[in-house]
Amino acid sequence: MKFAVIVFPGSNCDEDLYKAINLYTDEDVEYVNYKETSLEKFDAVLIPGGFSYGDYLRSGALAKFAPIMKAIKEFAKEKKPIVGICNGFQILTEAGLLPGSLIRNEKMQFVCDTVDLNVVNKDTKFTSKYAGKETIQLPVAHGEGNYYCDEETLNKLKKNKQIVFTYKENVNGSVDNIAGITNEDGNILGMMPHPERAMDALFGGVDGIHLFKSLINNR
Amino acid sequence: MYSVEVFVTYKKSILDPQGTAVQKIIDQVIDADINDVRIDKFITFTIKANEDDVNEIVDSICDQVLINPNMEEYRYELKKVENNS
Repeated sequence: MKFAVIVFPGSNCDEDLYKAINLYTDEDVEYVNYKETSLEKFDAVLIPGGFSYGDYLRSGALAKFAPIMKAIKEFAKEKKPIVGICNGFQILTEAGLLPGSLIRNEKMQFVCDTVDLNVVNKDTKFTSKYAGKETIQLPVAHGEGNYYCDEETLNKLKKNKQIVFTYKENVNGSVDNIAGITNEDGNILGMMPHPERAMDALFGGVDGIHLFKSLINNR
Repeated sequence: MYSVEVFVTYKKSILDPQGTAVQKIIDQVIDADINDVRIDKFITFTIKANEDDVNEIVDSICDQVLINPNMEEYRYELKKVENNS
């Protein structure tokens, strides 16, 4: 399986994401520069965290116009898997590939912590390997992770089982404590926590492994 | 040529944590009865366009680039200016 890790100007979690695949799975992974226009040879796209375009205007607001986005939208249309982590999640909502928006944390603080998450939906291609686990722990590090959507959208998310992860306790003011969602077709996941930072006991946690293993298993 | 001033605001239904935080400080510093502090965005630019087209173009700029329609609204003011280029 060939993974693409997209690199925008200002992305800074690309290396962790690359190494998560490269060192902890048997699959191939390559960096893909934001100026590229093709994702033909890839089976999955990963959009890393960071501060693409300096978070100028709004987080992810400018990244959505990068040359690579056309190929990412095509990839999404073909129902191939895409995971957006942190800034990646912000970019996916800005690009309209996921509903809702990420806004400033409720308490105005940048939250840098390891938090408890509920795995609300284990029937997705990203979470099947979490079977038997109700709660996991993943690191978060964000200032704009407050997930917002209107009531109509929230009802749709619930009806279609698109909510995948929720915070056990309020971390940033997200509506319904939403930490990660999929699109309606279930091939795109956006999440604020960092699974790629929980791949090794040496880092303090291994709960990120199952996400990538699920993706590989469900290819 | 026009000079354009765009005001981008969160929709009223959205809590503005920055505004709330600033209001708390104002309350500490100044004795005044203030409420509803909101921190918005002010974006300016000049544009060369016909009188017939300018509003449509500025609306496109706002809708497609400057705002996230999911949570923001905008209004703008146009002023005809001398073209000194």
